Amino acid sequence: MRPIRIALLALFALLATPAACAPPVAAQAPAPTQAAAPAADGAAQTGTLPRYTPPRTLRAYAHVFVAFAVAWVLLFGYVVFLSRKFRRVEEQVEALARS
Amino acid sequence: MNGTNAPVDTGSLQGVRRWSVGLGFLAATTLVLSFWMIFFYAPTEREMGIVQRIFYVHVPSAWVAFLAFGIVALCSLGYLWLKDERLDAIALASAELGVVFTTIVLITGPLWGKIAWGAWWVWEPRLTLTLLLWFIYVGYFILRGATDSPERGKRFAAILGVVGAVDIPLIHLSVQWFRSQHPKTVIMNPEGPTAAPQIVQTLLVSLLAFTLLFFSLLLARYLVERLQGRIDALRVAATLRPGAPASRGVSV
Repeated sequence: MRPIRIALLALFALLATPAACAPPVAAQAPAPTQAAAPAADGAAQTGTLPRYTPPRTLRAYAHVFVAFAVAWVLLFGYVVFLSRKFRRVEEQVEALARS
Repeated sequence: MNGTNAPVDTGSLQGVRRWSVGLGFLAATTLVLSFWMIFFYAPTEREMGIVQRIFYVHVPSAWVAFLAFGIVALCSLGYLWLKDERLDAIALASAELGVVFTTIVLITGPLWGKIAWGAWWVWEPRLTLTLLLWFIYVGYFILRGATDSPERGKRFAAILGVVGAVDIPLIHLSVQWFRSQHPKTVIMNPEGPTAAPQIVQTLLVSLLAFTLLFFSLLLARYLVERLQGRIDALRVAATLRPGAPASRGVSV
């Protein structure tokens, strides 16, 4: 089981890395205030609610990182749970074989 | 565990093990590709920015969760009808994975929502029904262990597994039936996908990767459950007949 665990750890590390070093593409996008201001003016004229534009802050990066990290921690945790269960079953089979 | 000298007959499960490992390798490869596409290939969405990338984990997790609970419902129905332990083992394995993937959906959704909507949680139909789905299938496990007789527990859980699946189409259709804040479908539109081609391609690769991962884990969990079932049956047989040799394979 040890090589499998090491391989899984390596895979997990490999998968988690891109989330941490994602290229700052959004920083090059137009600022939300520039895009939202004309929309808000237009909305005021037509009487409709202005459309909410998500802020382009560092917090958004943190949320992306946490989302990916949580997903992989949960899946990796499940794989560990499964491998432990499998090892227990293997031990039981060996014990039965010995008896 | 080669199934030749072992007292527990593992021969018929060797194929399941091979499939699980094979699918696992395929899933790992596809996941690496999907991660590259998510962070280096797909463009940043104009309105939502970087936070839209959560979509590539959130949507495949939701798809896999629905698939898992669909399998639970079908296998539970089969178990209630045929009383085949294999169907119950598949239902149990699938329900476990369904809960894991629904948990991912319920965590990644609010992380996106806080940036996109300005709120962690909104009590709107799709979110509420998804939370209900999670509670139903957590209840599935509680119900299994809540009775004195394991057979009765399996039967009750199977009934809940079938009834709980009614929530899946409700979740899917809730954005059309009710006034919902949740984004509408971008791929399975009658008019065709509304997102950029790179976004659609990345999502499709992520969907494939998560589906392969799901089937790999499902087979691994099924294998463990079946082996455990055989060991338990062997122990029961040994208890009932103390003088009998314990070197016979038990087929459950």
